[in-house]
Parts: sequence; structure tokens; C-alpha cells
Amino acid sequence: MASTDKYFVIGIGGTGMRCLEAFTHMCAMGMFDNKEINVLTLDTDFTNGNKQRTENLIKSYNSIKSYGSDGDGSVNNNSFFSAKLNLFQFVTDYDNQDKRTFRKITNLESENTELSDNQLLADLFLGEDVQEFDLSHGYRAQTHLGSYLMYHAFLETAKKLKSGKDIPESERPFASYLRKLTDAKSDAKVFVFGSIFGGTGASSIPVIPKALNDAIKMYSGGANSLDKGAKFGATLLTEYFKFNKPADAQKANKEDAVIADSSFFTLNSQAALQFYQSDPTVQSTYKKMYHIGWPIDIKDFSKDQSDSKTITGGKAQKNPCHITEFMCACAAWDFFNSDTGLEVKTADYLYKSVRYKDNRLDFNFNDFIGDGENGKLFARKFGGFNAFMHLVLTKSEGALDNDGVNSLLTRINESTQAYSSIGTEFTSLLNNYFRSFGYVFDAGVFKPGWMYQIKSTVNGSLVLDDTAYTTVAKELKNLEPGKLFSEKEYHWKDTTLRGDTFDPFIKHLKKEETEPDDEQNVSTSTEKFIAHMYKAIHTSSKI
Amino acid sequence: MKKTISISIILLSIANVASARSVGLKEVSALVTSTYIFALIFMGVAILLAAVISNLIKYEGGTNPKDPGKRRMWFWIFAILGPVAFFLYYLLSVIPTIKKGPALEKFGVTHIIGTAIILVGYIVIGFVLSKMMKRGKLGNWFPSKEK
Repeated sequence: MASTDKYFVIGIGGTGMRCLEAFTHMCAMGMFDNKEINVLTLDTDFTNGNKQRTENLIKSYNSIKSYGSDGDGSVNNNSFFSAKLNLFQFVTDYDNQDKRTFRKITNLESENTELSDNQLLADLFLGEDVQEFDLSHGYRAQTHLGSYLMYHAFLETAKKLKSGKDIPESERPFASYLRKLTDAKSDAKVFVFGSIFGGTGASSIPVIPKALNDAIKMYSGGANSLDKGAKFGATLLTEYFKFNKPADAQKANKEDAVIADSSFFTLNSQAALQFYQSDPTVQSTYKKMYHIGWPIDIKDFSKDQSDSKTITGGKAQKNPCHITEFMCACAAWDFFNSDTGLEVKTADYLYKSVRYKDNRLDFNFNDFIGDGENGKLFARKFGGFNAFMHLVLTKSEGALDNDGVNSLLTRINESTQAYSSIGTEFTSLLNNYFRSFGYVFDAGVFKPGWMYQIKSTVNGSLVLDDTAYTTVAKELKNLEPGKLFSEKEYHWKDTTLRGDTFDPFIKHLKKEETEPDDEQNVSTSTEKFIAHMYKAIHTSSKI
Repeated sequence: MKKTISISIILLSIANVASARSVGLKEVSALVTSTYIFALIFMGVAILLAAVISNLIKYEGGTNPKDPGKRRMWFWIFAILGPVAFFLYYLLSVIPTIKKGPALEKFGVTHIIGTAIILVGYIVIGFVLSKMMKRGKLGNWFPSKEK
């Protein structure tokens, strides 16, 4: 891995946002040590539930990182929350009445005659319903329209940024992102998250490299362009969920005449894959494309929804997370840690398979970022962060109305005063992060966070022992953070005679040898506290 | 040789105390010495028991763990139990064996001094141990007040 690499991630559409969510949790696990990553969220809708959830998660991550520091925090090594994430947003803002439909954006409404050249050209490529549906909830699987409009949105914003006039506050971060990309030159590694079967992601993935290049040119007045050495990678994520087929009554409304129909997702995926395989622009701009799909039990996002209407977007689109999104985040890890295969002329397609037997898919730690040393690294980071989560939420009751992080901090404060300046403002931030990662008990009812949502999509095993994912309060009470793996050799070294791992862990946590060292590159007391927890967990473990 | 004789006398007087034989004026000096040694042994045993029990108390999870309080409680239980047991033992089992008169007068308040030695020594050693092992469970005996 070249140390000069500059990392960029782009999450597009609802699925892209959920991939980003998984990516952020991987950063929290410490999978991206020593990396500063520029994250761009790209969507057509400010209010999209998935987008808001992901952005809030990244903001929460950054609040933890930057707490007690002058800036936005720093990159750390061998610690949790070790990567620095810079969040940028780009929204095409179709909520604006002048941009609500294709006809409004292209000014077709001002055409005097149905036989005008512009109208005829539009009619040639797009049906009347496609020209008139409400764009604020995305491109609704109309990728031919979406690619055109996303490219247009990039250039229009770049033009506005160049002019310096009437720039909405929400569009300014895009200028910073373009500048960072330009400055990175050939060191830029850009990874794009999105589905290829839906609307916004599928529309944008093929045009993103070109759109970014042309936007940089436009913004710099032709002085700059995206460096030819910049490397792009993306996921080719095929269908893995479904939702209610839209009812005719809903489609009767002109604005909702076009609604993505999940029964066509397989067909969409097939068409997209054929396109990617044959399109020379995609082939030459992307270096690595990661094939990710789901062969069994497609998740039904409408299952627990009371609304009879098909949700097209907006606040209500807050779908649960899926293991495939985690696999996409792992693809980004592979891309960012690749030294080889990036100088190719045409895109390299990568995939790997997982054991499937008796209608069960079993994932172990070798199935995510590779086996051997990579598998061990994954087990260490994934297992370690889950152990931290259980120390906070389960053992210290942070999943109830308590601050579990503060309880752990109090334990360390019994032996050192290094963290006495850390207040409950920080500990509750970290506690809340773990609630979104793990679980929470709300009025006695178990509410799954990201990790448990991911597990619910896997009918076989997922890295840890099945008992580590129990949702029963009584069983959780007896859960040992040091015995999350099925493999006994990965249990923590020290246990009491009765097999308790919490007591030996606290003993270990209070020892001087678990205090952070220079190699971890931490400076503020909160960074040191997190690094201290990391070291105590990892020196307890045998991995 | 002299040292061996003194140790023998002390051991004899301890045996006397144990066998509740009558102690005369000549043996009181040895009894006083043995009382102080006994006090030190009591103190050591009390500290050891408090340390063992404190280490056996597991770190508890939750937001309001009770284990530091339990360790402190056991420390103070032994701080009281040690001197009280020593005092009662001497009051009920040893002093009645000393012949009344000059022997008893010579013994005087030795048992009270022994009791005080146990109490003060136990607390001082407990404090030192607690500060020396502040990262361990004994650190809970005298927790740091800084925050």
C-alpha cells in the first residue's frame, strides 16, 4: 500500500447509503487504520431516511473522533475509530419545484409545439410518464434518465460553483470534494457504493468518473481535470431485497406513474451487468469491480411496513441493513489496500463465494477481506469491536437507560487519572454509537442495531458463535464478551474458574501495560481512552 | 545462644497461654513480648484475610457496581474484627491465667496496647498496600479522591 494514497468514497442512493453505514462501522472497528477518507453522500433527496441515518452515523463517528481536539480529530493506528472521515454531501435537490420533473429541468414545458426538436428528442428516449414523474424520490429504476440527470446535476453545480453566485450552502461541500480530488492527482483512490438494479446508484455508477472529471474541468475553468492516474473501484451489487409491487391506484397519480418494481430487479441487474461488460467508458475508467449478490431468501423490506403504498423514497425510506452491504464495505477495504491490479486498461471483475449447504450460508472470518493474515485481522477487529460493544451495552447495561461507557471509564479511573477530564458528554456519545451498532432495550423490547440487523439476514453463522447474537435479555445477561467466537482458541486468555471473562478483563484493563503507546498515535484523552480499550481487548484475546 | 533462649521463652509463654497454665511474675516479661508478637500475627492474618476476600470479590458490571464498596466493607470488618478478637481472647483466655498481684500489675495494659497496635498497624499497612496496588482490587480500600 502506497503511503501517499488519498482515499475517496462515494455512496449513491439508498443502497449506497447503507453500504456507507457498513463502511463507517468498519472504520469504527479499526479496519481502516491510519487512513483519512473523504466521504461523499450522493442522492436526489435531502430527506431520504437512509441518507439521513448514514449521515447522522458519520456525524456521530466524527463527534467521537473530534471530541476534545481543536480540529476534526486525527488518524490513529491500532485503535477503534482509527480512520478520519471527512463528510461531504451532494444532493440534486429535486424538491425544488423548478426541478421536480424531467420536463421542468429541461424546460420542455416552455416548448410551444409537440413537434419541437427538443420534445421529439425527449420522446425518442423517454416515455411521457418518465418525463413527468416526481424526481424527488430518485430515478425509480429509470437508469437511462438517471444517468443523464446525474451527469447534468454535477455539471450544473460545478458551473454554479465556478460563477461564485447564488451558491446554496448545501452545494459548497461539493467544491471542497472536487478540490480534494484534484489535489490528490494520481494518488486518488475512489470507491463507489451503489446498487446496479435500482435507480440512483445504478444510474450514477457508470457516469461518475466522467461526471467528476467534467465537473472538475468546469469548476476550474479548464485548468484542471481528474488525473488520469486516479483509480476507481465500485461494487456491482445485484438484487438482494424486494418490496411490495406498486398498486394500480398508486400509479394512477401522474407523479407516481413510474415506481420501481422489485419484480424487475433481477432483469435490471442482468441488463446492467451486460452494459458494464460491454461499455468501453466503464471498462476503461474502473480498475476493479466487485461482484456482490445474494443467492437465497431475498429480504422483503415491506414485510413489517404497515403502509400499503410502495415507499418510493423520502423520510419513510429507512430500510434495515443487510450482509451484502457489509460485503460491499469489505470490497472497499480490499480496493484501498490493493497495490496490484490497478494499472489495468480494462476493469478487473472480482468475486468470491461463501459456503452454502442445507440452505444455510455460513460466514466465517476468512470470508470478508480474505483468508490467512487478512482473515485473522478481520477476526481481531470484528471480534474486538463486538466485545467492546458487549462490554458497554451488555455488561455495563448501556443498552438500557444507562451510560455503559462511563461505567468502564470509572473502572479505569480507579487506577489512573489520565482520563479524569473525560465527561459524560463524550461517554454518552460513544454509548449511543454502540446502541446504533449493537442493540437497545426500549421499554423492555429488544431493538436491533446494525450488527443484529446484519445477522438477521444470515440464516447460517456469522463469524461469531450464534449465542453471541442472542436477543433474549436473560441470555444476554450471561453473555461473556471474551467468548464470542465458536473457536475456543479465540476466547480470551484469562477466565475465572467459573468461566467469567469480565473480571479478568477489568483486572487487565487497569494494568499499566494496557495504556496506549506511541505506535497508536493518539493525543487527546478521549483518543487515549479508546486506544486503551482497544489494547486491553486485543491483549486479552489470543488472535 | 542468648537469642535461642529468648525465642524458647517466648514460645514457652505462647504455649502457656495456649494451655492456659498459670503465669507467674517471672514469666510475665516473656508473656508481654509474646503478646506483641501475637498482636503482629493477628494483624498479619487480618490483612491477609481482607486481601484474599477482596480479591475473591469479582468486578461487577452495570452502572452502579457494588464490588468496590464490598471490598471496603471487608477491609473495615477485619479492621474491627482483628483487634476485637485479640482483645477478647486476652481478656477471656489469657489474663485470667496471670496470677493476681505483681504479675498482673506488670502485665498491665499490654493487651490494650496490642489491640491498638493491631488496629493502627492494620490501617497503616492497609493504606500503604492500597496505594501500592491502586490498579488492583486492594486499591478500593482507599480509593483516590481525585477526579
